[in-house]
Amino acid sequence: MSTGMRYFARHFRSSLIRLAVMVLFSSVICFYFSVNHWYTGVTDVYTVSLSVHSLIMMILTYVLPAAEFDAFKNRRNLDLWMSSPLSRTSLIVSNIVNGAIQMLITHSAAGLAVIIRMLVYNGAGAGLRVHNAVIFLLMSLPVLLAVYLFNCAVFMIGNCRLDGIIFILLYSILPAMLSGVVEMVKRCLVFKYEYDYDGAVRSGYSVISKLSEVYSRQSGPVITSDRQLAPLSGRYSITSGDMAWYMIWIAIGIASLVLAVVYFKRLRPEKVGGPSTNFFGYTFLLPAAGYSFLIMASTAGLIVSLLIMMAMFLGYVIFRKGFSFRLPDIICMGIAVLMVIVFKITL
Amino acid sequence: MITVSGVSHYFGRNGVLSNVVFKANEGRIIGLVGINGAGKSTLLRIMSGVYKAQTGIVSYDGRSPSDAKTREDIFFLPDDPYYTNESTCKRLFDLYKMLYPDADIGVFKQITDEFGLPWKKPVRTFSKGMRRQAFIALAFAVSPKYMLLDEAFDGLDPLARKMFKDRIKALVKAKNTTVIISSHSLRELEDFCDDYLLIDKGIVVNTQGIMERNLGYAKYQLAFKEQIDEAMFEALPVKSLKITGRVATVTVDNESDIEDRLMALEPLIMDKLDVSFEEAFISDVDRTVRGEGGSVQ
Repeated sequence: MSTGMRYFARHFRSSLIRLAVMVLFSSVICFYFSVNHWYTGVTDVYTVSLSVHSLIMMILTYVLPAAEFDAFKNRRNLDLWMSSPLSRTSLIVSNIVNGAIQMLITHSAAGLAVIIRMLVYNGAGAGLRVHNAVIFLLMSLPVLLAVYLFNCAVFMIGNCRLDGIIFILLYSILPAMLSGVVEMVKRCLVFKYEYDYDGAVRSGYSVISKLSEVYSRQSGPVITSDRQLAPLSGRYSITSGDMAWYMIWIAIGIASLVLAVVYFKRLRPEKVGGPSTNFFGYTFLLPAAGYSFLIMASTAGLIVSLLIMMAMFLGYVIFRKGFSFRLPDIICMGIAVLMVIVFKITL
Repeated sequence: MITVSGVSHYFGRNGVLSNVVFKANEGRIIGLVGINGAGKSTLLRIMSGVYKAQTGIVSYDGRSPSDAKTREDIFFLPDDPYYTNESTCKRLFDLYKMLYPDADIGVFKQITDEFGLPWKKPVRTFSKGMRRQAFIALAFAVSPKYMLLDEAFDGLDPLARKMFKDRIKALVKAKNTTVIISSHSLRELEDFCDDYLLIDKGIVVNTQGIMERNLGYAKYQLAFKEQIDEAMFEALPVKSLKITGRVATVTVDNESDIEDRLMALEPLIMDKLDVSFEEAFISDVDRTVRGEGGSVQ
């Protein structure tokens, strides 16, 4: 067995407790909250909400990268791993694969819990469509893994744990910024443009939640129309736009895997523990995230949003343990403010 | 053979190592000596593959430490080695056994028993010296071809130091291991290493044997008839001076006429003493700081 395989086997064993906790927690929550039942006074109504499952799994796409790569944010650990006869590629791939396997197992276990619950209710005549849940589980897994891989790459560029977590959170609101950019460009280029957010950039979670929405709109066969309940017929389908974003996220996941491996191979352990200086870290994210806040704000709330953005930027400068403004920071901040002004003018 | 050629390294704009050049033959024990912040740990991390040299080359018989295969022959013991809250001696050994399959549990057990280290107690509850002993035991259990030890004597009691030195000598003899050991314990290295690397401000200033370097300095004890003061020695190339009553102990540059110049002070008695390694080291650093010496080798 190679050193890489021995490391993977050991790492997998050492993270079994974490896996057990995740499986237990996810399964119990999904079992109790995914399938709902109430009595209308006339009849029993059963609904399935797979968004509970997708929400928990989405949280794991944030938690698992932090858990897997926490060890590489410590110089003492890196002294051991980087001087050992274990290649950097084996090291990073082992951790990524371990996290992916844990996600797969947790996802399957929680999904199984939902299916068991549905089968139990079906035994009581609920008539829930189990195959819909199975399709959702199969379809959501690739995009969940893609989001996980994306978050792995993002966590990696932070030089310490806190930075890694902050970067993941800030990148999660980045699609809002991209949506804003798309809208702004449309407004600038199209003479008569109807405001339409259907084309908004989709975050990983919105893709998954869309899937869960499609596949969970089902209920038992007996629904009273006079109660004005939603016509939950299970006839909703995925649009070509949804599938496009689905495929885009798969591509993002694959690209993230490559980037994560390349970045780790070039990692300079002497920088670990210090301020994160990667361009795609604070330098890019703070103006980007600030911009996201600004475009989401109403015109009246613009001043407040601008103040928040300035506070974020100042906090970043202080966090870098110095008050000196670097040229890239000023350029990025300037671009963000300029984009907001243009956006607001064209509104 | 370890070859370090033109290695320089920077942390941001701060130069840590500058054009470090030296070779270490097989079966040699090399002392890496330098004051805090001199760049000893950085050099060892570059040599072990943790850091990648920004310029220059490190090679082990022509192989780079960046290659995982090369690192099978290298054991690096940092000044603050890795362990978790749950790590015990047994778990530490299992971890290293995973990385170095040839690690010998018999050797590890023997050394930890000699040190009296408990196997089931968490390493975090050990004293600093005990933790160091556990990692030293691991180093000998791995028995690599190249052993890089950072501040290896730190925290060890005299008995443990002696055992450690004896073990290293035995390992070098048995396996022709090359050992590079950094330490502030200059006296410990004095009678132990074959060669020395004096590193100061990122520059390796001397790689000669200790006796050879000591020839650059001379130490005398002089007794005078009358009370004396420091002013008497102002004209001499003094490295250190201690005056106790009418007796002066002085370390000076070993210039050809130094004894004549000292005799000109008219002491009643003048004895030549041995210069300790520590005195030589301090004088070397002093000379380097003043820019008087220290050829890069």
